[in-house]
Amino acid sequence: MSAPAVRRAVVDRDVCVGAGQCVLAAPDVFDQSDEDGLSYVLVDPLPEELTPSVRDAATRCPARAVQLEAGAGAGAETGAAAETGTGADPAADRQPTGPSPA
Amino acid sequence: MTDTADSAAPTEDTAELPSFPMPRRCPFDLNEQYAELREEAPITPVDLASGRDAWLVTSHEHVRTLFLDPRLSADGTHPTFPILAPRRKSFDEQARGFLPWMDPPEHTRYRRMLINEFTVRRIRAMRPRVQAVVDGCIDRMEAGPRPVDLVRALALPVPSQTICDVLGVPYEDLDHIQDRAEVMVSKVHPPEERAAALRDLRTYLGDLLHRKGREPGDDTLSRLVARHRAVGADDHDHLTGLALLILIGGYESTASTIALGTVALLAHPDQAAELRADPSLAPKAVEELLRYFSVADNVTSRVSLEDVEIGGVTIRKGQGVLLSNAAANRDAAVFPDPETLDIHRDARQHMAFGYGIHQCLGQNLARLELDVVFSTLLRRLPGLRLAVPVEDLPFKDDAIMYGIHELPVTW
Ligand code: HEM
Ligand code: SF4
Repeated sequence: MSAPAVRRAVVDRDVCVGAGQCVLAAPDVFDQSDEDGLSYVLVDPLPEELTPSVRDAATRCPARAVQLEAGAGAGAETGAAAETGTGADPAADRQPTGPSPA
Repeated sequence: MTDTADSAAPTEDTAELPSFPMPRRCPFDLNEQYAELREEAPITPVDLASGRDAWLVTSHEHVRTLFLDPRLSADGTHPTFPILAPRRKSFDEQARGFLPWMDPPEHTRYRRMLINEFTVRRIRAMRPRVQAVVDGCIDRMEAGPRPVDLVRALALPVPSQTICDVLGVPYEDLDHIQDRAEVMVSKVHPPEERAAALRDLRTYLGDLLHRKGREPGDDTLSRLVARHRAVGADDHDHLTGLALLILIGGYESTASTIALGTVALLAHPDQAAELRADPSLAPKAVEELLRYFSVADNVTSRVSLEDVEIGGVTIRKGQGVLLSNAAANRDAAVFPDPETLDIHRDARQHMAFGYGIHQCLGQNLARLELDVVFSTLLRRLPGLRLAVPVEDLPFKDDAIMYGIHELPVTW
């Protein structure tokens, strides 16, 4: 934890409902595919200065599809966790579907 | 015990329940009881005019959490769904293909046929077309007599012409559609006439979809037909329902926000002046006006499919839940000094478009229309003012969608 964490922005495309909030919040990080309208990540790993915009996107995403992953295996911050820090949010219990193939 | 019909009632003692929706304190503000409830009982039983009762949720935190909860269903045909007013049997039949009432996995399948038509990029590319529509309306206002009704001259034509553009509906059919849509959502026409208007629209769109299947164009309906075929779903009724929803779903809500937003800007001339001087403030002003009026407050209802414990209460299986986005949008915990209109505030956490999987599909189109309308109106008609006092405006106090029937303006 002493070295700056390598962070990744992740979109769970199984959950995304294409509302585009992430593109509005972090246009340098997310884009919606012309093919299916779902969001995908433009930059990986995530440059440090873009981290706040991804947190903003994670909170605004209506489907809780956006996550900020802190390095390999270090767990993820969802909008719920980043925002309220409580376990009361039912979406927080949802199992992440893991990285998508491709 | 939880499975009986009784379970649809949050409490046995229904005599004392407040009723929902509660009348507004004034055109700009909600009933003050919402704020009191949020303090004391943010999830509380209320009575509905339909004779059913339900849990009313008024805090931003709980509304948001419940929007995300997969145990709440959006199925408006569910026998204990918290409908606000009694409704006709034939209504459920008409609900086929009605996306807002679908639950996953059906919802996911149909929504995914539509979302790439409404991406941020696609909508941005439409700006010049929306600008042309708005300029056309204002040209006609300038050429005509004053005062003029801003609802008929601008608020209604902008969303209807825009959505016809998107869908690929021929302009020459617009008068017919506008007439039918107005009857359908009006309160002055009897239910039979309104049902007939809905049937006419379905017939019209059904025929149009057949035509788009035969001679596809570069528009949403043509692509929708093609995509529908590609996944082997050839349910024409469902497709017609989807098309109808897009055609009229964003019509009244956007028109209402245009009309009410104009009244609010005229009532706050200092903020209007700032916006006129600096159009780059428009996106923030639009979010604030969406928050402030939350015109679609009455559409975000759910029914619980299981017992849900939240905020110290248990929502039983089968009970109705009203997620009041208007009340949540006035929650001081998220929006300091919530009753004050402030185009500089960060209003982006508002839920005027809902939240969760049903969050408004047309939201970025609505944002674009509102942005272009307000910036163009202030720039081109700087002397714009109400032609009657605010108190005399006919606000839609008891409609499902909040709004104004008529807005006489001059300049
Ligand atoms: C200011 C304008 C608008 C407001 C306030 C608004 C509000 C809403 C709200 C609150 C919902 C969620 C309903 C729920 O959770 O049960 C919704 C859904 C929806 N809206 Fe809008 N809307 C607006 C404009 C539009 C426009 C312009 C369109 C079409 C182009 C549109 C199409 C839809 C559709 C298709 C859904 C259903 C999405 C789903 O169930 O997955 N809306 N809208
Ligand atoms: S905000 Fe969430 S649901 Fe919307 S496009 Fe981005 S990831 Fe998908």
